[in-house]
Amino acid sequence: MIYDAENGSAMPGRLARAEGDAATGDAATDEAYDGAGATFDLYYEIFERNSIDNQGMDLISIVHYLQGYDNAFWNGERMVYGDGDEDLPEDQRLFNRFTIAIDIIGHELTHGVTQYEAGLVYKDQPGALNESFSDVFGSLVKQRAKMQTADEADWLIGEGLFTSNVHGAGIRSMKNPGTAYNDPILGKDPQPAHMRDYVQTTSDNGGVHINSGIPNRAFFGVAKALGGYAWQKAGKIWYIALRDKLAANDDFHTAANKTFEVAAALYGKNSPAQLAVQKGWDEVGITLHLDKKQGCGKNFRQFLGWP
Amino acid sequence: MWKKFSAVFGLALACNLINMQDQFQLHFERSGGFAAIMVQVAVRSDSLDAKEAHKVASMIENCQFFDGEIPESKPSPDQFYYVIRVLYRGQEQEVSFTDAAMPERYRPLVHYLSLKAREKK
Repeated sequence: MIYDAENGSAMPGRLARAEGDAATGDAATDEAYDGAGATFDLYYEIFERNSIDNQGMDLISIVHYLQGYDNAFWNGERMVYGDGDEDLPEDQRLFNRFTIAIDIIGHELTHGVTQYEAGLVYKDQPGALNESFSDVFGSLVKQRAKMQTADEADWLIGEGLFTSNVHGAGIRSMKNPGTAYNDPILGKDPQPAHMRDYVQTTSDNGGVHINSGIPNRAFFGVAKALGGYAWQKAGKIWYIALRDKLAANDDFHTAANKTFEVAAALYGKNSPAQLAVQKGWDEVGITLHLDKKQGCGKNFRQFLGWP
Repeated sequence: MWKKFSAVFGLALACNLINMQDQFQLHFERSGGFAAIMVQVAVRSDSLDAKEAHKVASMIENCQFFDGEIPESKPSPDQFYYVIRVLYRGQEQEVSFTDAAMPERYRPLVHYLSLKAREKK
């Protein structure tokens, strides 16, 4: 269901489009409706998840929130979208409406899924993982809507969100974190792609939108190595890890280990999928800690002087 | 100690309101959000025309800047985090909140400062 805040702050506002209603002709309303539908379908048809809470929760989106509100967020119950900086003169505007990119809708809805599952704390590394899972599933919503393989996808988050006044292709790049924009006014995309460039900061809850570049790049690496449609194997590994394995305070290393475990459980130990997960994390500077049994075996062989 | 100072300072200002003969300064910072692009702006009353300075002083008073309650803000996905500092009569006070925790009485001031900060870009 889509509500229209009519550029005010009262929520939810006026019901603009109920489930099953025809398109309204209002771009934000219709994009929010279609994007929520595509996200629901990805979760339902691929991951057998029934909505945000897996109990069929209504998907409520609010569009036209405030004036000059250049943001979208999940408020714990609903998705909220602003119209960008439509209140500035056209030649000064940096942002279009926040429903313009389907992956933003998938991103916000996934914050709800994370809230109901791993409950990743929104700070430091758990917060960056929270952000990364939203980018991952947001990107998968976009890729599935376009029926693109991992090789065909652009792996951009927020493509089209910047106006033509900005030198940038999108807000973030999962393929090449740190390259999404480079603009005289906004500066350069600050995302790192490797642990050696991890950003220590207190801003943005410990850089949750900055350091998410590292697990984003890891996912891209796994998806690229596996090939085909990224939601089929890489997406499934990440979803099961989010649903069944990750806990609120988990960091990048723990997430790496848990996705590695899930890959083994789904596709077999030392399977191409499990090795792809190991390689994906390794490429961003996160070396997997093998489980005790594997670790003991290796050490025992070393102890014996075996190769 | 700071709370006690704030309470005394706030009470004095709340009673006297902002005297337009005195200068005041505002510093505004907005971080977080989906795009995580920080904007900030500093506003000095002596750089504004009299009408605008009066409007800003009224907005500060209307949001009970110096003595109003601010709910605790929890880190929340993609919400903006706002910090506003006011320097007046040699004293400084700061408030901060997320979108969800923003008291309604702050909206006009935040809208004004957000616009100033974005125009500046």
